[in-house]
Amino acid sequence: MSKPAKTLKFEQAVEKLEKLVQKLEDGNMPLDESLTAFEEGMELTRFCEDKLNEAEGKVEMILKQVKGKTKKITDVANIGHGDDDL
Amino acid sequence: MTIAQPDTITDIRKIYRVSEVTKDIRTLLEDNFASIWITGEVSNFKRAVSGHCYFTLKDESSNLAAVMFRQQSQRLKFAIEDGMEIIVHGRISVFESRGQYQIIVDAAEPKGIGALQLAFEQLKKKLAVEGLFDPAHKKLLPFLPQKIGLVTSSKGAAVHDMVTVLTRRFPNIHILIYPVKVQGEGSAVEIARAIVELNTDPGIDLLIVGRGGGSLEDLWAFNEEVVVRAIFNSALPIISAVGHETDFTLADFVADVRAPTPSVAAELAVPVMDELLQTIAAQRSGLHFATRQRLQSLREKIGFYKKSIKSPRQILEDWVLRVDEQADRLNLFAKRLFVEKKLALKGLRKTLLALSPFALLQRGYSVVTREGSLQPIRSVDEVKTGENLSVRLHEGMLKVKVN
Repeated sequence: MSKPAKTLKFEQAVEKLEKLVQKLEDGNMPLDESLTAFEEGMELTRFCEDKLNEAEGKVEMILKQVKGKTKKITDVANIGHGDDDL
Repeated sequence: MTIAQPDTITDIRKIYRVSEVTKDIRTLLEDNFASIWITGEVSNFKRAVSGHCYFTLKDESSNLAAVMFRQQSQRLKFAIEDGMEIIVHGRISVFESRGQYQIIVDAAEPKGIGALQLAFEQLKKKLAVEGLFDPAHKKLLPFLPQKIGLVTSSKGAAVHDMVTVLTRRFPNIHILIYPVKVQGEGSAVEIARAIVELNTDPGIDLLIVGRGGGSLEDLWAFNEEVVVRAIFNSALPIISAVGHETDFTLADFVADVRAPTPSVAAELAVPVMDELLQTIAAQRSGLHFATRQRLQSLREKIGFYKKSIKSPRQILEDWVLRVDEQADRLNLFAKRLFVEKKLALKGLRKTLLALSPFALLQRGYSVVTREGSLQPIRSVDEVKTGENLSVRLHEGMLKVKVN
């Protein structure tokens, strides 16, 4: 079990990671378990960082006149101030 | 127009037909009470199938029939109920076929409390009884939403604040704004429709519904039943953000989470990405450190055991040493024993020699035996005359005969 499941949620992965590190810190793991735990932990950190960077990062507004179309807002700082009333 | 008087001079009486006098009365009343405000208590309220409302306004001593036609009654924000004190505006007229005068109401307000306020409380009670505000129905917000839908005006501080706070906390966030009218005619329907449509977008996992501050009238759309039900029926969790901290609309009661302002709504919607990255980095450091520690401690343990474990050569050498040591002791002991025994032997010899008869001989005594025998003769009775005897001296032996 080295790759986290795709369906694993971010907050669950963080929890798993914390538990793993805690177990390692408790210091009673046998050698091969320690190494497996380390590997799994690293996989989880990568998974978490990927999840955070996954989202597309855009702001769009629905165009009411045209069904199903949206318009991308480029000037986010001035949103609400201009004439965006569609 | 003047009411016809009987013509006393000519003695010709004007005799009215019922409809005639009724019509005159109607005209009289309509002319004099064309626009009047009346306050009273409602009783016998009935809404007909047609939509027209019939009731009686009364006070301590009088009753007045009232009717409010469908078109006007539909505009009422609150519901007229028996026992309610209201203020109505209308015109007095006569229902000719029944011979009844009545007020035709075109506007009504609750007395002592705003119409909107009353409507708010009536609807709140009704929906509360249905369980729409039950905490059991509230959904949890997703920890890390992928795409957030915003139902709000495309203009104004609310949308600006929400987008600003959301993108600041989580730069990657995907936001879809569904612009709506947030007050005025048709706004409630638009808001409800926006919620329903955004629910059909499979990528969205959270909605924020709200607007900036305003009066009770301005915020009224968020108290309308159609909006409240749309929020309740939404499969997506909804954060309500209507007005200021002190504004509470029914949308706020039914939403999964109520935010006091649009900015707070954005804070509740997403975590801060930087903080999350820091947490992960900290966990990664912890992982490295703990693993290193563990390996180090295992290594030390191995080293310790290594020191305590001897090689076969080492073991052998140990045994050799032990054996040698014992051999030495044994040797020493044997030597000592030997010397002891030797000494003892010497002693015994000396004693033996002292006890030996030959020592006596040395002193001048002799031993008399029969010839060829070693048995010493001790008494004269033992010998006969003429017997041959041997006399042993210290040096030499004599052969003798007994006299």
